[in-house]
Amino acid sequence: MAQSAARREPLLDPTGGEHGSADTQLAPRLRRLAGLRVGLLDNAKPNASVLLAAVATELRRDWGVRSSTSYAKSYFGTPVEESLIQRIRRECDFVVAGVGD
Amino acid sequence: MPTVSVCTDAFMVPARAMARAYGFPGFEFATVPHPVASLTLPQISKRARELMPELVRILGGQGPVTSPGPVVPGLRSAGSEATEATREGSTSGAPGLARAEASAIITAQEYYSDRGWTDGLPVVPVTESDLRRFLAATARDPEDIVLAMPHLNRHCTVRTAAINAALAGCRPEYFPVVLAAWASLAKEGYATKGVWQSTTGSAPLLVVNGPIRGEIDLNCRGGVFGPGFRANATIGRALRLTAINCFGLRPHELDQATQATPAKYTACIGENEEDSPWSGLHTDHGFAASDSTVTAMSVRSVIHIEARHTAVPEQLGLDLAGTLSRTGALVHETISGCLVLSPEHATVFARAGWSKADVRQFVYEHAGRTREELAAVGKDAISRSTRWRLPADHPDAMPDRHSETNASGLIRVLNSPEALLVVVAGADNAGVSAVVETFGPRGGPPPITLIDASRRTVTDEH
Repeated sequence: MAQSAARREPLLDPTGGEHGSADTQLAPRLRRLAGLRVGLLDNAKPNASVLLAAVATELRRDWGVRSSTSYAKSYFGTPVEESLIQRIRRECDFVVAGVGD
Repeated sequence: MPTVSVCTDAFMVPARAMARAYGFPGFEFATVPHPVASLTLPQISKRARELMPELVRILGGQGPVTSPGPVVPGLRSAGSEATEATREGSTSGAPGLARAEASAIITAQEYYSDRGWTDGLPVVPVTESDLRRFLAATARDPEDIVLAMPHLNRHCTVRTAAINAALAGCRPEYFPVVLAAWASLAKEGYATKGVWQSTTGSAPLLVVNGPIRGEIDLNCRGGVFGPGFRANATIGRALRLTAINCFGLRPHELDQATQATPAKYTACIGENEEDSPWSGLHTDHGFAASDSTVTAMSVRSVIHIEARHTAVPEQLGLDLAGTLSRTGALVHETISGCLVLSPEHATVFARAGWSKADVRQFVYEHAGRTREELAAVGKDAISRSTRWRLPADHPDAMPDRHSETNASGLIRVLNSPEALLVVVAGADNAGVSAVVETFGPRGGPPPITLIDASRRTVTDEH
């Protein structure tokens, strides 16, 4: 250790570098909601399902949304299972997810 | 698929940090005023109505209400600082060598501090040659993943764990303990489930057993939870610096802890096997006394017990049970814990012929609250959906598992004697112990992990 004291070395980055996902494109936005099917993704936080149900009521009544289907995450702290994502993709046209609180 | 996320305004900072972690720096959230959890149905309907224009705008939908139209992706976040160069201090051959080195160290401190690569305390500057000494202390490949947090889209390699261990002030010979700690945390499971960013504000606690304690001077005696011992202080801190630097779990960003706990700085203790009347935690679970192990726990708090007054095991047992069953920790139906008994308290039990299993059984049977006590704090039932405790008159309430079965009127807070671990630590000088409140109902075997001391073939030793 002592003999290397005179040598100048760069300090190391402790972050492990960039971990970002390669695909960072948002899905194309919708032009209108009328006639579409909404998926409600409940993250299992208290009252999330109640708020999402209220949003669905509004979407159907005032925005012409055709149908709504509810889905639930198994645990709020972890990502949605891939199989559930695929199911929502098959059954819905757009998703409302919540509630971050 | 076009998706809009609904989030309360109190959580916009971590929400944006999550979006950045997934590569969507400009992601827009539909916000509602915090809180949602405590609202009534009419209040929720009102929030939903108010939310709609923003929610629909983010989706891009046009409708009866005039909306601003398709969303333009938001601004990229400011991102990392522009300057990359290290600001090295002047060390140009001044006669006062100590002064010159001190200024270089301070310069390095400012470099790390400016980038947020610290827990707030000074860190130890780390270079590639320092890193080599840490990597030489393990047989594992530097690119091996020690822990992945898929929900944050991040993972930590052996190399990054080593840089942060060095930064925390570890000696290279501590590094196998740090690696075993990560392996134990992976087994324990809560770190990978988002608990480290939770409002709860928990922290990992490490319990070390076996000969490694003596080899690296890891304290297991007086002041075991306190300062003064480099191994204890820096091994625990290595986890925190990794959490901050590698996983991005900074307070006010992805770490959303409402208050947190001092244990977040560092929490690593040795079991005082030498002064314990019983065998060590690791030998209770099939390891040899000559094995060195780390056991990680996610903890809410470490509660202090002062019971100098008694040598009656039942009295001491009830004191421990009463502390463990405090209602403040009863978020879920049941809790789990670890008794960290001082040698004196352990001896009170052992003298009366109690084994560790006897202590666990007694505390299991007596750690509870009456229905009335739970009702008084609004925790006398559990939620049908989350299984969190709530008042029995809540629309989502269902009876807890114990409501029909208790004979003595006591609702037990542990699901089994195995939900309670017993460890002996501290000085053999007083009737002072601790009840550690751990995460989860638990009851299965604890995540005891062998410390692998096998080294890499060292080729570049100076």
